[in-house]
Amino acid sequence: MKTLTKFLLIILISNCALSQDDEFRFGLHIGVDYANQISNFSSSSIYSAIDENQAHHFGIHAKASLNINSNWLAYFKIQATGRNINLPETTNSLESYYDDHFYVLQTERVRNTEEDKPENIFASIGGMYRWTQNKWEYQLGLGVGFASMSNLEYAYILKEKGANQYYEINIVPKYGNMVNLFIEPNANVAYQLNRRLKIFVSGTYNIMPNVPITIHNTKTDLYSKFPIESDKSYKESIQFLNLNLGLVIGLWQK
Amino acid sequence: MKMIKFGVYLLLVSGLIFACTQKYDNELVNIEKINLFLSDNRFEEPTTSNEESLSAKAFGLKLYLDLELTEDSDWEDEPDFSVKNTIDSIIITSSSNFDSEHQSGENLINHFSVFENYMFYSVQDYLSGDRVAKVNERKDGSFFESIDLLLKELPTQEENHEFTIRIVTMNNEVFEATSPSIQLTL
Repeated sequence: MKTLTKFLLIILISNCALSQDDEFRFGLHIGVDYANQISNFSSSSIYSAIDENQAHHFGIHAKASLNINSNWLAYFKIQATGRNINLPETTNSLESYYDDHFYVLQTERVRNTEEDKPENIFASIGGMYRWTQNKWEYQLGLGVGFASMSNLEYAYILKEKGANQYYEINIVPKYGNMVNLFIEPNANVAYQLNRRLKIFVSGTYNIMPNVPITIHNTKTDLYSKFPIESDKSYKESIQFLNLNLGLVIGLWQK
Repeated sequence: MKMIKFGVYLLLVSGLIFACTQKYDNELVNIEKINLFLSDNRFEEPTTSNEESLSAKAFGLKLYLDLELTEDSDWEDEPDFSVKNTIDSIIITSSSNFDSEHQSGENLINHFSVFENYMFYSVQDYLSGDRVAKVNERKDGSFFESIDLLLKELPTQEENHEFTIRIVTMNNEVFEATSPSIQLTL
């Protein structure tokens, strides 16, 4: 978080010096994001018990906007989110899921095993209507795009209640589509710091309807080492609510 | 030049010899005595039990090895110790018939499995031969190792059992301990 703050301050200070006259044809938006996955999955699926249901991510995005006229602009945006930061709640939801028959043990292993990769990458294009009031600028927009969601792996131990039975569980949710179509209504408020530079806060709602998800579940008896593999498929609508904060730098003066 | 090479080789060889002998010279424990308790694994982890009756599905034995550190061992620096009087054989028996193939007094070692750190091990493989003991210290300053043996093959009928573990070391020391009586329910 400190690094991000320093990064924003450096951009802020360096770009204040670039202040020039008049409007610009392009805007380069750079920001940090907080993404909350708010999908309401079927409560009976293991998918709802692992972190996907209430996943929280931090991310970054860059957006290039083209000023078509004084009220309309078009944009292209790319966003990457980091790994889920909501693991304690994940453990609780797993314990609730297995409550009748099992204890969930070694929960430190409930994690994305591809920690170095971004979990989700979103790319979108869209249009925005804007109006200004003194130094304030308001924008309402709608975009469409594609999301690539990484296949994560979760591992933990189950102990059967009242028995010497232990199982290792590996769960890999796989998204049926390589990329998933989404729509993103969004709203922005920006404040003009100088002619070239604005600071903005925005909210974006991403919805991916009917994403085919296959949960590959391997349950291995720790004593016999015998694995039982199963696949369960669902179609779920995945929704993200993003809060974004960043800077807009004006480029290519008219 | 030859002298320098010779010196380097000498240093490497002496370092290797030191590293190989260090562990066995300094970090050793002796098994002094064993104790056997009943264990109840119905909940999150196996715990010592004083019950008169336990479910066979969640039953286990807790084997305590009382250990004595050899004179050169340094408890503060190195919590893992090699066992000096290595175990040669282990026998687990019951005072009652266990199933149709195991009458009273027959070896039940394959009915139990050592459970440690979410792994199961054969009792014989885990305890016998060269091994590193997980040494713990009691409040009175004595040392011990606790080993969980979980029952993995169930008896065919409900009986009272007194389990006995007999351990023979490579140098023919014999350690024996018997558990309290327990009725295993099905």
